[in-house]
Amino acid sequence: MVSLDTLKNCFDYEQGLLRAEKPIEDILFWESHSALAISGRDARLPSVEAAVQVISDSGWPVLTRKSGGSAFPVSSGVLNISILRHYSKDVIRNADSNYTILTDWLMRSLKPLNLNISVGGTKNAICDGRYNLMIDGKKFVGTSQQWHRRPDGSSRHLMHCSMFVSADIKELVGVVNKFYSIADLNLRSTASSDVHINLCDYEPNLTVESVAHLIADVQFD
Amino acid sequence: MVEVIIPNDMWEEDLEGVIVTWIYKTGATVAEGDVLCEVMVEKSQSDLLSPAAGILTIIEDAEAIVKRGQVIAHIE
Repeated sequence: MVSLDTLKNCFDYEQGLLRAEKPIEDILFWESHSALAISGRDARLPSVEAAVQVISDSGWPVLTRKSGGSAFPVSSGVLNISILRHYSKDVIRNADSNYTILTDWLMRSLKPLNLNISVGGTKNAICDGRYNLMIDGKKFVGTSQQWHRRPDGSSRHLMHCSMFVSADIKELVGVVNKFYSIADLNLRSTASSDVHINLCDYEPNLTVESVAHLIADVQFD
Repeated sequence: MVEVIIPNDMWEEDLEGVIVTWIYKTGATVAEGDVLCEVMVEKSQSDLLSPAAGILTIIEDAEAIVKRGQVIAHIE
């Protein structure tokens, strides 16, 4: 686990590695104080300034991230994993192939827990996508990617996933809904906490750190 | 004049992307290899680099829906 206590520190560290002159390949496991990460598109919503003010004043600093998707919250009880890879010009990779490698790795890592884990979209989930991990149909991992292309044709790649281990899911979903209700003038459908789940709901003894070790013990690709 | 094009290998065939942010505005002087804009498709976001040095003219603004192979700006 890297010691990066705020989301801003985590994002700055990731971007520094991604844009370093010399290619760096690494896997970071981190946990952050409470914060809301919004996308570049979220940052242009009609009433975003008011939303950021309200959410920040309630103890959730709001930061804009560089990877795709919509708003997602981090807090204690959420394990974040950042995977940095460098691909030379002749290596053909796309978003789907990378998501498949990422989700396969997580599935292999979590296999000892004997849970009914699947990959797919989750209706009414926060920051939904086609490559969530779900237990019994409920989302506990979200994924996103960022590609940094280089002038020489090579690319740096950041894959990110957030895993609910022992989070206060109702609070996290509530923060996202409140952000969009203000920023987007209530035009967006509301996410439901009922479609999310913590790993601890199945294995109460798990902690963010123990899950990080479980995953780190399995080769990424 | 050089066209700034969404690369064909940026994502899979049937998907559409969206321009998230232009780093430079129309009229700006850019260098070859500068990051011009960020493009998102589903939950993947990519930098798009300038193919040449010159003066940028944006054709597709932020929030525009774009396809692979589409011209989104010119550099003269």
